[in-house]
Amino acid sequence: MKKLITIAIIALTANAYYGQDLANRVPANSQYVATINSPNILSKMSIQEMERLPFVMKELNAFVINRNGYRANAKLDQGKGFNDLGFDFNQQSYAFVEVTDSVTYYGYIVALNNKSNFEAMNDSSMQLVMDSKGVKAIGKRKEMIAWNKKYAIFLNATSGYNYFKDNEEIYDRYGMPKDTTFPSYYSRYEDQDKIVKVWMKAKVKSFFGKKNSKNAKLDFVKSADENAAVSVWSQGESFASNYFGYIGAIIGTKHNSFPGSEVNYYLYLNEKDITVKSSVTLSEENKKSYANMFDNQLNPKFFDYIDKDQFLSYYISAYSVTGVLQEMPNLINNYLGTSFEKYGMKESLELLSVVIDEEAIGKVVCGDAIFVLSDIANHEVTYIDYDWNEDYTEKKEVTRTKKEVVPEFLYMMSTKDEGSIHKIMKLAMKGSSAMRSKEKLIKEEGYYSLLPYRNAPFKLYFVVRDGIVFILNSDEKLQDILTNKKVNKLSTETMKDMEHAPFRTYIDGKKIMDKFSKTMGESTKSPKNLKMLDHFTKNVGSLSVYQNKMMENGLSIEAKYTFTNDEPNGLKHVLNLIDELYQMEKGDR
Amino acid sequence: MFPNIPLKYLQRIVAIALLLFITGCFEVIEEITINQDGKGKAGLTVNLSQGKSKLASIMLMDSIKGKPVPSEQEIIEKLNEGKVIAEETPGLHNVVLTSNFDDFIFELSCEFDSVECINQFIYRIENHYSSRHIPEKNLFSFQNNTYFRNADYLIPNKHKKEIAAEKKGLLSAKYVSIVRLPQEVESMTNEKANLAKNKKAIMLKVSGDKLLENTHSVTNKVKLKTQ
Repeated sequence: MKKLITIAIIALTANAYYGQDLANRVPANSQYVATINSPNILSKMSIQEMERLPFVMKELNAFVINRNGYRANAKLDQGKGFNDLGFDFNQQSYAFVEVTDSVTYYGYIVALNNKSNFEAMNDSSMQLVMDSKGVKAIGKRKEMIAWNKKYAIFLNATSGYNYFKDNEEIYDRYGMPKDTTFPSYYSRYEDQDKIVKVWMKAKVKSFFGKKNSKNAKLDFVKSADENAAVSVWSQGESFASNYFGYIGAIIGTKHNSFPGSEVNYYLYLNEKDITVKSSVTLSEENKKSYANMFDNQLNPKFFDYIDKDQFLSYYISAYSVTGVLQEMPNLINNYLGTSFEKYGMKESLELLSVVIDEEAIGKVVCGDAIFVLSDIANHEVTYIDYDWNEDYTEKKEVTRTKKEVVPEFLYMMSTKDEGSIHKIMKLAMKGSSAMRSKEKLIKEEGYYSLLPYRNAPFKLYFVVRDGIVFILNSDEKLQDILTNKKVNKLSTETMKDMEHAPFRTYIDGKKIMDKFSKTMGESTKSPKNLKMLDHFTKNVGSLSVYQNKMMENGLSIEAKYTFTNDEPNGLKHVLNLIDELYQMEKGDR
Repeated sequence: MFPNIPLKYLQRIVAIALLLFITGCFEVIEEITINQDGKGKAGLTVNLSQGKSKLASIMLMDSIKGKPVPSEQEIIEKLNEGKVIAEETPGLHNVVLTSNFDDFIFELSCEFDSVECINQFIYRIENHYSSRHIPEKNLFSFQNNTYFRNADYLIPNKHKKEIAAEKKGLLSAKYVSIVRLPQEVESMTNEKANLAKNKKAIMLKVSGDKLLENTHSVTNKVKLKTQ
């Protein structure tokens, strides 16, 4: 993590005069490209300001030592600043991933302003692999660093296992004799490495060859946002598992293919927040399907039961069950394609859509729900321990108490058919007694309660009223619901946020940390820990992750970390917070 | 099937919520009483009551970290297997097994003709569950007025790795070994052991993580005063 932060800091401080020139060096077939826009970054925090933070300097030194190779004298590297790296912080830099059938390249292209400083940093254990026409390259294993006086490329590669398995003739092409002692490709890892090195060398040469002038028109260039600190562009399919996992979770399909054409991610370091935005473009057909599935919103009646002083975190989902059931055959057909048709699954699913009544199911479970974590508190529990007399001849059972942390939560979901919910509960009651289940579901006055198995520290309650199914574990909250007790209303802004998105997760860092410190065990309460915890609790912000309503081109998801302390922007907030904690940990504060 | 769906679903919610927030610990108590004639009583108590909420939650689940969670019935069956093996071991008598699932306390006790009979019982238990033959170990002996508890094998090396992975949970685990002897103690090798007021019994408490690290041991050689 720390390494990532260092690389991010270093990467983020590259600037943009010749950005376009370097963009032309990015392989045109890259699947992922990150454009790092440093004027934006440096306007938030200057290099001098960063260098004043001991944490940043520690990480920078670790990076320098790493660049130098572990055998280097660490003492000599102390006190190096950003300018000693030789990177030109007035130019933009790029990171990319290029996947081919034989090898995957991971690269980082950065401009240089001081070639000798850059060279002085090089790992002395790397061997010189190229030195011609002003371009030098050094390498070790599957890592290569190449540079001329203007820019440098860091390149790593991983070879595709299947490629070498399926193309054994490749060894002949590179004049490698067949190894007869082992019949298979297993023994040829060394040969594979040699071949990959040849390819990497060729790749490096191509970076310094003719510019790829077409890149200016490429999507990663067009999609980069000048107001973003970092813009990441990717071909849609590359993000299939990542993004589709999120959407697909609703309908439980596999990560086989992706409905969108490209995905963009942007990182913004704003005045009061740090935001990551992502968007995915959808085809017309998929757009309609998704619009139908998301044709719902959070039931505003839920707000009558959420107390503004009793929520630490919430999770909302508001999709339309009817819409999902209607779109299921289409979506599965789209994602599973031919194999789906081959096994007659399409027909089965179409038949299912005739048999099931989407509207009726959508009435029982509408599809909008909220899970609220309302409290984390210590509950006292008893346990058995033993005492002995002074001769150890008698063992006496004693009951002692200890504290256990138990979360309190409230889950609500909408229904337009309370009758069916009661029927389901009745069936569950019958089922639990017929199956002699470990737990018992019991009907009480106005609610159901699930008696836990033996010593679980709380019961679970179910209430069905007001078009809402409630599931909760707090006795007090149960009484409040049954007696219609008024709650302290949420702010209009919070309600608006909740209503806005089909999916939303919110975590109030301050409140959670506050609860955490109150339930902390005595053994962890050292003065240093308490001081750090106190500082963190005072300064930490809140995190929201949400999907926006359907947009013109497709879907968008945002993650927003908002803070309220006095820092002027997101970058300073994060770095100063980490630095302060780092110094407290070291004992300097 | 259908009526069970909501219950199963809710079991998961409860169990996962609890597992995230509760940590537990446990205690194992080994008691040996040796009479003048070498006969005596042995008992092993496993007291999981400090973690009973966590265990009750785990018992609601079908599996945890990919490993199946046994039912009460299955646990009782396994414990009974142990009881039967004890009953079949020559020199062990009056084997009693008690299970308390409310507090999660399990106790196995018996009388023995000589303390070495326990070695035979452990030998039989180990080989009952092992696919390859495990030789008998000298864990308990009482010879020439000397009691020897050899606990070097308490946690077999092959299990140390997987136990170490769960080390956090073992920090507050405790192993208590008590031996009551027919005469007063003259000397003993384990510095951590406490001698009873009447000088005829010894108690040794070792925390689970220390056992795992091999920094503390239950091993003790006790020499008794001659009459």
